[in-house]
Amino acid sequence: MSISGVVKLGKPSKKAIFSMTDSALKRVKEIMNDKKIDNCIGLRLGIKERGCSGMSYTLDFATQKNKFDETVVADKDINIIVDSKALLSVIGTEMDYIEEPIKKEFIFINPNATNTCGCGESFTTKDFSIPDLKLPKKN
Amino acid sequence: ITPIINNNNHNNNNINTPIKNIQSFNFKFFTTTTTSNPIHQQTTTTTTTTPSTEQQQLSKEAEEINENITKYNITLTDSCVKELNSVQKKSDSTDIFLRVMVDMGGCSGYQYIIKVENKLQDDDVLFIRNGAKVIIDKISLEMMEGSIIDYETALMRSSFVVASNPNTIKSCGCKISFELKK
Repeated sequence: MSISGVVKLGKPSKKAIFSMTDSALKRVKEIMNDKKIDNCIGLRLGIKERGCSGMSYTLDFATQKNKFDETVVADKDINIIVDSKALLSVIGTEMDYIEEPIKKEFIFINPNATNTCGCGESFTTKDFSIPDLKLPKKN
Repeated sequence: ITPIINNNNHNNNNINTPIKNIQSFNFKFFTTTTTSNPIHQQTTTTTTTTPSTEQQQLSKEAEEINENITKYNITLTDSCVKELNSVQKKSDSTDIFLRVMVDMGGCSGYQYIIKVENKLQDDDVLFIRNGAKVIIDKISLEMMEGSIIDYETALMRSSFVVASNPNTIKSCGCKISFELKK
């Protein structure tokens, strides 16, 4: 069973589709330096519909970019590929990395999340199918 | 009596001096009766079991666990021990314990609470393996006997987890919340 990322409620970001804190960026660089996978072009941020609150983020090594995926260039040579299915719920999200004696993990400050379960790993979002709700514009 | 006489005759035939002959006979007779060895000339020596002792010491050094590990069948994995000793080195405190306890709550009814402490409570049961110390209170231990405590490493998160607990039915994705068997 794969480990999913913890989601926290937060304020929307007006600038970027997806942003990262310095500690998250530092950790991603460490991961990319340690990578053992050939043809790795970045980290893929995906979403899966499971968990007790509906959705969970996933993080994997990406070897290809699909047609409708969005690439966020976090730094030179550091690419975060956002899966097309995850785009709507990722908009405005900030990715952070926290270190504690008990655990070290990525967390996501997601303005679209309306509810999370107790451990924060599973979340639900607004229903974007409501006609009068305006979608955020891409940069 | 007859065998003694026969031996005496035999010795007389071989050795000239009667006095020495008698003494030699007595000595041999004494040796025979005490060792119960039918062959007089052959002697056997026993060697100590040094290799097994050394092996025993080696295995003892390789795996140092306290009695509670076997008593309650709690497993601390290699990565758990390694990470816990790493946390110990980074800490200012002289003693670091990983507290694992069971609490009500979570999406499946019960949940684990895992944290680092430096004090031992009265009702805690201490588990030690190769310097790594884990404490579980007695009430939680009733629901955790036979569990495996691990340190999981993955892209998204690295953390201490209760990797498996035979007393539970299922757990949520992050293995924090679980449901008990009845």
